[in-house]
Formats: sequence, C-alpha cells, structure tokens
Amino acid sequence: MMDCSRIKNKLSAYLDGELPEEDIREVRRHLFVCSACESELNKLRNLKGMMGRLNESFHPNASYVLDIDRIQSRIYSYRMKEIVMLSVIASIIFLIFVFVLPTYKSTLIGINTETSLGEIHRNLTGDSYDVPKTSGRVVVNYLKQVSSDR
Amino acid sequence: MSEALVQSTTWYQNLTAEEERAWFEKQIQQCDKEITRFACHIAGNMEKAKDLVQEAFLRAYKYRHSYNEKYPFRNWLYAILLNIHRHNCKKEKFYKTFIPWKTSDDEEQDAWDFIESDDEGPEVKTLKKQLVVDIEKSIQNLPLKMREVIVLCDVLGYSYDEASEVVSCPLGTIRSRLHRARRQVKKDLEKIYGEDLLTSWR
Repeated sequence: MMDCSRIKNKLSAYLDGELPEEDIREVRRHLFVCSACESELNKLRNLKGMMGRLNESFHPNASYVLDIDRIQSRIYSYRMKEIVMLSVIASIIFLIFVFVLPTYKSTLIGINTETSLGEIHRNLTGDSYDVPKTSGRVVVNYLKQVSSDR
Repeated sequence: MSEALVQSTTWYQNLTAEEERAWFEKQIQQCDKEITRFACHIAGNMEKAKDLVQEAFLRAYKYRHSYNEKYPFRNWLYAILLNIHRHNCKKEKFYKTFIPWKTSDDEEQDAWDFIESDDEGPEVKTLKKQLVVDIEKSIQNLPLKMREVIVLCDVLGYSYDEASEVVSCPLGTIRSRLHRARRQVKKDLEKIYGEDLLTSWR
C-alpha cells in the first residue's frame, strides 16, 4: 500500500520523537490499523536498543597521555612546513614573472611589429625600405605627410 | 551593542597560558574514552582510530580559540574528528586509484575485537557477543555519511539536533540518512539471523 510505504519512511523519526505533531498523529492513526507497520516499528525499536547496547559492550583499550608540549612542537613544525611551501611557490611565481614572461612578451611584439609596419609602407607609397621596429610614430607621420602632399 | 559585547566573552579571555592549557587538558580527560569509542566506530579499526584521535587533539589545541563554549566541547571534538576522517578517506580513495594500497592489515585490530559481552550464561553470552559483532560489521559496511549519523544517534544516543551540529547538515538530511542506515543494518541482520531476531529480541 502507498500509505504504508510513506508511513514506513517516517517510522524512524517517529521512534526518535523527531516528527512534527501532525505527522505523529498521522503515524499513530495508521499504526492503529496496520499490524505490518506496527511490527516494523517494533523491529526498529529493538534494533535501536541493540545498537545502544553496542556502546556499553565496547571497550577499546586505549589510553592517552596528553602531552601539550609535544602537540605544540608538532603544530610549530607544521607551520614551518607551510611557510617553506609558500616561499617555494612565491619564488617560482617570481621567477616566471622575471625571466619567462618578458622573453615571451618580446617574441610576441617582434612578430606583430614587423608585419604591420612593412605593410603600411608598401601600400601607400609603393616604395619599400627597411623601417626600424621602434619608429612606428615616425613612419605614420611620414605616410600622412605623403598622402596630404598628393 | 555593549550588551552584545558583554555576551560574547570567550572562554580564554581571562585565562593565562597555563590556565588555558589546564582547561584544555581537563576537557580532553573528560571525554577521551568516549572519543576513542566514537573513532573506533567511525574508522573501523584501532590503529586508524588512535591516529584519528591524536590528530583531533592536535587540531583542537591548534584552533582552541575558535571553540564556542555555547556548545559542548565533546561535540566540537567529534566534528573535528569527522572532518579529519573524511579528508583521510578522500586521500585514500585518490591513492587507491594510482598506487597499490593495502586496504586492511591482518595485524590491525578491528573495531569488533573490543566487544565484551554481559555477564550471563555462556551460550547467551556467545550469541549476544556475535550479534553485537555482526551489528558493528554492518555499521562498518555503511557509506561514511550514513555511518556517522547512525553512530551518533543510535550508538551514542545523540538527538537529531546535536547530530546535525556535529555533522554540519540539516535535520532533514539527518533524518533520511538515519532512516536509510537503519534499514540497511536491519537488512544485514535479517540476512544472517532471519526476520524473527528483531521481532523477538529482548
């Protein structure tokens, strides 16, 4: 029955007294007429009782001597390890920024500058001569002058 | 505003370093047996449980100033222990994928090796001990999230509210996990002992 499966899902919480009032009333009404669910509740109750006994029967033979000095020295060594690791990571990042990125950046700029300056010069004047990479502004001004002269 | 400031005094505010240390030691001594039991149920064997407990003490001492005395110290310690265990389980899962890993050592003592029976007749004693061992094994076979909840609520007797504080999840989640855990343990026991066991057990 659909009702039974819905009620069975609530039996655990009902057993623990963790259901809202309305649900408790609903479960009680159903248990009054359904022996299967009543039996299921009984089984859950016994299972819960068994598990409670588990803790009483459980005697692990471990005793701890709490040594705060030892704990403090371990905490200190963990902190030192963290500091060393962070320093290594920071150094690697620093090295990447100082050595690797500038080389990569200058390679990129070199490629872009060569093609673009060469093309502008050939298209507008028909002549071609070597244009220094750093003279972008000079070339643009010259080209403007040439086109205005025409 | 001033009222809020007065109410938010912390446990260590008026203590010297020595007094803080003494307070911490006292708290640990009051709950070291309970936390060992809890760790055994969660971890499933004694060696792992001992490591867990030591690690939990260390972390509790390191972060002792974050302890809110509104809540029981024991619950806070349990939460720390659970977090460590979850982290260890994830790490173990990761290593199992890439490195051959021995899941259990024959020399390690399982949690159920520490079960003692009540003082009754020898046959009843053996039966009950075996039953309790089977329950413990069934709990160990549960997924970690369900195991945490059933150990807290059924084995240790925590309420749903207390369990939700320790495990850091809502009440509805506690309810559903506990329901599924109990259903699984019941199923496991019925497989071994038949349906009559739970009906007629006293």
